[in-house]
Amino acid sequence: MVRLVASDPFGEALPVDQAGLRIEVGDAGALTWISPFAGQEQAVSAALEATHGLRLSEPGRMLASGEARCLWFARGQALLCGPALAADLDGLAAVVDQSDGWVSLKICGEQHVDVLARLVPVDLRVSAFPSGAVVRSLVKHTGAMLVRTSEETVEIFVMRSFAKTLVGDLREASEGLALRG
Amino acid sequence: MRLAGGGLIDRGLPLRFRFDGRDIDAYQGDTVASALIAAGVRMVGRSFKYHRPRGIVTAGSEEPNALVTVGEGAAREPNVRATVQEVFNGLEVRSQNAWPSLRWDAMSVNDALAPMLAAGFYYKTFMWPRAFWEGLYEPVIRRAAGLGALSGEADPGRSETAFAFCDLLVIGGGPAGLMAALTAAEAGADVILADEDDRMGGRLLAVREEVDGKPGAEWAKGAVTRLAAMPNVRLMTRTTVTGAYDQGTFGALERVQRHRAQGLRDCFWRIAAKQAVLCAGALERGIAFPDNDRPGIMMAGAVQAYANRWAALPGQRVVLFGNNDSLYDVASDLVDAGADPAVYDSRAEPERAAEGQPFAVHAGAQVVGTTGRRGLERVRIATVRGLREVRADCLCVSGGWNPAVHLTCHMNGRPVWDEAIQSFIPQEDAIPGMRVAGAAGGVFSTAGCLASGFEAAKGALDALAKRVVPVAVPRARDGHYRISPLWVVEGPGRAWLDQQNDVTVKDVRLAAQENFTSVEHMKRYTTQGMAPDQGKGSNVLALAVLADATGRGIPETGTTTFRPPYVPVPIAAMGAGGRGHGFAPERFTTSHRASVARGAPMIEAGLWYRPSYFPVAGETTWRESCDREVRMVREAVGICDVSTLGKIDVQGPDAAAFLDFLYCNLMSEVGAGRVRYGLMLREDGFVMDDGTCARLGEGHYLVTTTTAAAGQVMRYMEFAAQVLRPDLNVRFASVTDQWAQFAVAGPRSREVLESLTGPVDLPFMACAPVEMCGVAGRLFRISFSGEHSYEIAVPSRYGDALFRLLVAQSEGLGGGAYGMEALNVLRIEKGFLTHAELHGRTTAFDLGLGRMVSDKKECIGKVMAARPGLNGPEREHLVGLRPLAEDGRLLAGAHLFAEGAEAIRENSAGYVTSAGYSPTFGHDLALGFLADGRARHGEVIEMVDHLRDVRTVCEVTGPVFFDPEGGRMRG
Repeated sequence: MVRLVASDPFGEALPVDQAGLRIEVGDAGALTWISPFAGQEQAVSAALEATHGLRLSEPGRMLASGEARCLWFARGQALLCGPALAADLDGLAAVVDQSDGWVSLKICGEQHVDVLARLVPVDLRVSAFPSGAVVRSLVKHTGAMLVRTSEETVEIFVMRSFAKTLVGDLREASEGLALRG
Repeated sequence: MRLAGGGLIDRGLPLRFRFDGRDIDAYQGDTVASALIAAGVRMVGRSFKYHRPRGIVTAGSEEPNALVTVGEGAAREPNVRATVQEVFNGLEVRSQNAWPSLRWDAMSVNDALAPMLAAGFYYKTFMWPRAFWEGLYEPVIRRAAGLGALSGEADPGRSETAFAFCDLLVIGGGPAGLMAALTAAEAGADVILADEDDRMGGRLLAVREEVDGKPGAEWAKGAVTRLAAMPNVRLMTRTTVTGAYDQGTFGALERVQRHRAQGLRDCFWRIAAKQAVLCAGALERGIAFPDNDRPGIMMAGAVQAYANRWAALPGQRVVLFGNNDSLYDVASDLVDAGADPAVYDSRAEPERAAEGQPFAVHAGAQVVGTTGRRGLERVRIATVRGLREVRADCLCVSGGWNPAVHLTCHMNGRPVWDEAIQSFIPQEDAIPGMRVAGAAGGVFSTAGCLASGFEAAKGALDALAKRVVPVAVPRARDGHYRISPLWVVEGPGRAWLDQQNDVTVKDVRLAAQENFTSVEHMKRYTTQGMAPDQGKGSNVLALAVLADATGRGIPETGTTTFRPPYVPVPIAAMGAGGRGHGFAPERFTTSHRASVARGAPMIEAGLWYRPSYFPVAGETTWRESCDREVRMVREAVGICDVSTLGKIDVQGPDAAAFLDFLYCNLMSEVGAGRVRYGLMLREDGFVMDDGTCARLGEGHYLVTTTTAAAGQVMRYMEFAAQVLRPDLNVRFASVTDQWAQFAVAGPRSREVLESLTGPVDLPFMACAPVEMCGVAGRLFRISFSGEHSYEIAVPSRYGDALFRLLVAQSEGLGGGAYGMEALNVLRIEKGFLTHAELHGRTTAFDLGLGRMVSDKKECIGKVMAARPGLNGPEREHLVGLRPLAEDGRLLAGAHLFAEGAEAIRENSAGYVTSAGYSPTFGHDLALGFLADGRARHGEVIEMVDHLRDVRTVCEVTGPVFFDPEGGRMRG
C-alpha cells in the first residue's frame, strides 16, 4: 500500500548556527488544545493530574511533569505538549488535536534575547520572563506564543504555515545583530 | 585651524574624507563639521530660499545650516547634519542646494530678488490663473527652493527596529544624566542611559570645568566606565530619544554604524520605561541683528566646543556678542587656544567686569551689521562711544540658552516662561513618570546639574519603590547665570531668525501685520520652525519678535507645539524590515513546493501564496493553461489545494445555538455527518462571509470561511462568544493550519479517491471520517465547481505527500492540478460567490439568498437586514451577463448601462464583479450587480469599461450558467 510520508514544516531552514545563537526545531511532541467547558476547570485539572501529573496552568505560565507540559494558550485555553492526551475529557472540555496546526522552534544562546528584542515587543530578559513563563505576542508581524524553557532558551510556537516566515525573520534579526560585531 | 594640542580627538588615528571633491584631513573623533572648521572651510551650503552662503552655526543636532549629502549612488543620503556625522576614511560629503558649485551658485540671484520674496509671496503672487498653481508654479518653486535630493533609486542601506525595557530611562548623558544614571544604577534599578552623541558627557566635553577635582570630561569618562561595568545598566550612545508616547513608551533613533563605511545604518528603538529623567540640556539661541547669517557667525557655545573638544578654531580674530554671562568662559577658553577675542556685552553693566580678564570687554555694545562676501570679514558695532567697525573672521553669538523642553511637550504639555533665564522651562509632570533635570529644567551650573540629576533619580527610585543607596554628588562649579533680554538689533539689512528656512524678523512682523498673530499661524505663514531643525534655534527668538509686534508678552504669545520626532527619523528606520517580502508575513501551503516545482506562478491570497495555474509543455499564456484546467475538471478530474480556507472547530453543549446565532440560516437542524452552506451577516445586516458548516458530531461542528476573511470571522466569533452571548457554553479553535485540504473535482473524482481509500459512498453535502493510506482524515462531499467533487483533509504533515499522490492519480485519469484561475472560471460558470461579490455592500437579498435568512430564530444582522431600502427593486441584484457577440469581452470593474443610455456616472445601473473566458461555453461570462436585476433577465444592456475602453452589448441572465439544476454536482 502507498504510504503518506510526513514532511517537516521547517525543512532545511533549520538549524541555524551562529556565534552566540542557535535556532533549532522544537520538540513539542503531540499538541492537544484543551478548553474546559463552563465550570469544568477543576474537573479538567483533576483529570489531567491523574493521567499526566499536571494541572491546567495559570495565565502566562507553563507547568511540566516528565515529558508532558501544559502551556497556558489563551483565555480559558491550554495546550498539552508532549504525549497524546490520555485523560478522558469528554463532556468536560473542548479538545482539538493541534499537532500539525502549530509548530515550534527553540532559539538559544547568549544572544537569544537580543535577537528577539528586534522582533518581539515584550521584555524577554530572564529577569522579566523567567523559566516557565508564557506569553502570546508578535514575532515581527506574526502572531506567536513564546515560552521560556531555560535561562538560555525561548521556544516559539507559530501556526504551521508561518514556519518559514518565522525562521526568515529570526535570521534577518540575527544578521542585523551580527553586523554590530 | 587645528590647534597643536588638546581636544578629545585621537591624533594617533588620522582620517581622510572628501567634501565637494576636495580631500579633508581629520582625526578619529571628528565630525564633518569639526574637520571642516579645522581645515578652514567656512562656507558649507547655500540657504533654502535665497541661496545665501552659509556656514556651520552649532555643534549639535540642532544645526540649521550645515546640511550635507553623504554617500554616493543609490545609498546617498541628503540633509545629514555635518555636526552629527562622524568622519570615517573614504566618506563622501557634498554640499547642497547650489549649482553649478557652492562658490558660484546660479540661484543666488534669488537673494537679489529678496524684496519680492517675503513671507506669503507665493500666496499673493501665484493666484492666477488657478490651474497654473499645480501645473507650473508649485513645481518651479519646489525646484528652486529646497534641500538635498534623494537618489530616486531603492536605498540599499540596512536599518533595523528593536524594543528595549527598563525601570529608568535617562535621556541625555551630560552631568545631570550621568548623575541620575549612577544614582539609579547604584540602587539596583534597571537603567538605560541614552545620549545622541558618540560619547557621553554632554557639555562637560565642551567646557573646561572641574568635577570632583578632575577635568569634567575625565570625570564623565570615569562615570561611564563605572556604569558600563554594572549589569543593570545599558548605555546607548549615538541614540536620540525622539518622542515621548503613552504609558512610558519612548521612540529613539540610534545611528548604529553611520560612523563607518559599511554596516547598519539606523535602529529605531521603542523603549518602554517605568520612569524617565529628561537631561537633554539646553540649546543656545542667537540674536537677530542685521546680516547675522554669514559663514563665520556661530553660536558662542559651539565655538567653545570646537576649540575644547575638537581642538578646532573657527577664526583667529574673534568677536563675542551676547547678553549673558556665558560669553566670558568662551572668551577665556579662546585666549588659551591662542585666539584674540573681544567681548561685546549688550548689558550696560555686565556682572563680570573687564578688569582682570585677558581680553577686552565692551559693555553696552551691540553688533549692528556685518560684511563679507562668502564669509564674515568685518563686524559693525554700536558702542557707547559710537559706531565702530572691526575686522573679524569669527563672530560668537549668545542670546541665551533654551532648555530642551521638546520631549515634555509631546503629550500636550505647554512649557512655562521663566523670567530669570528668559526662556521656557518644562511644565511639571508634562509626561507621566518623567522628571526633568539639569539644563533641560533651566538649571545652568554644573553643580546644579549634578544635584538635580541626583534628585530626579531619587524621585524615580521612590516611584519604583527602590531604596536609594547614598551616592556622593561630586563637587563642581556653581554660580548664577544672568541674562538681560535682547532679541533684535534694529538696523538696515535683513536680520535672520530661522536660517534653515530663510525667515527674517521682517517676515514675522509682516505676518503679524497681516493678522497672522497666533504663533501657530505665524509659523505656517512664514515657514519658521519647519523642516529638519524644527526651529530648535529660532523658535523662542521668532516668538519674541511676534510678541513685540503684537504688543503681547512672550508667555502670552506662547510657543508652537513641539511634536515628535525631536530629530529627523528616516522612514527607512521606522519601517526597517518592511521592504519587499518583509512587508507582511508569508503563509505557505503544504503543496507549495510541489506547485512551484511544476512551474506554477504563485499569487497572494491574503497572506497565503496559491498557484495561479500549472503550465504544461507548449502552453505560452496563462489563458491556455487555465482553459485546459477548466476542461480537465469538467471532463475528468482536477486537484486543488484549498487548505487556505479558514477552518474553525466549534465544540460544546451550546455549539448549535451559537452557530444559529452567527449564521443567518439554521445550523442546529443539520444532522451529524451533514454539511450546509451558510452566510454570516454583520451587525448592520450586510453579508460578512460565506462558507460551509459541517456537523462532525452532536456538539461538534467545523466552520469553514473564505481565505481572506478567516481572521475576521474568528475575531467575530470571539466577540460574539465573549460579549454578545457569554451565556452559551461553547468553545472554538482555529484549525486552519492543522489540516491540509484538497478539492478533488470532476466526473472522475470518485475514481481518484477510491484508488486511495477504497469504496466511497457519500451523498452530496455529507461528511465522514476517512482513512487514507493509513492516515486518518476527513472527507467532505462539497463542490465549488459544480462538478461531482470532494474535499479531503489530512493532518498537515501529510499534505505534501497527499497532494503529490492525488495529482499523480488524477493525471492517470486525464486530470491534474488546477490553480486559482481555473477555480475562478469554474465558480463563475456555476454562479458561486467570492469576496468579489461579498464585498461588504451586498445583502443576502442582493445575492438572491434572501430566503436563507431564517425566520425561525434570531441571528446577528437579521433585524438590520430587514430595514427598508435593503429588500426591493431599488437594490442592485446579482445577475449573470453573457455577450451577444461570441467574441464580446466582459471585464470586472466595468459599469452597466441601459442600452442607448449615455455611459456617464449618473446613468450607471450596475457593475461587473467577476468575469472571465469560459472554455465550457466558448465565450466570456460575468457576474455583476444590476439595479432590479432579477426582474430584468433577458434584457439587453451595455457594459462599458472606461479604463480599458471596451463596450460590449450583453444579455442579463441568472447568475448560474452551468448546470442550473445541479445534476452533475449532486449525482
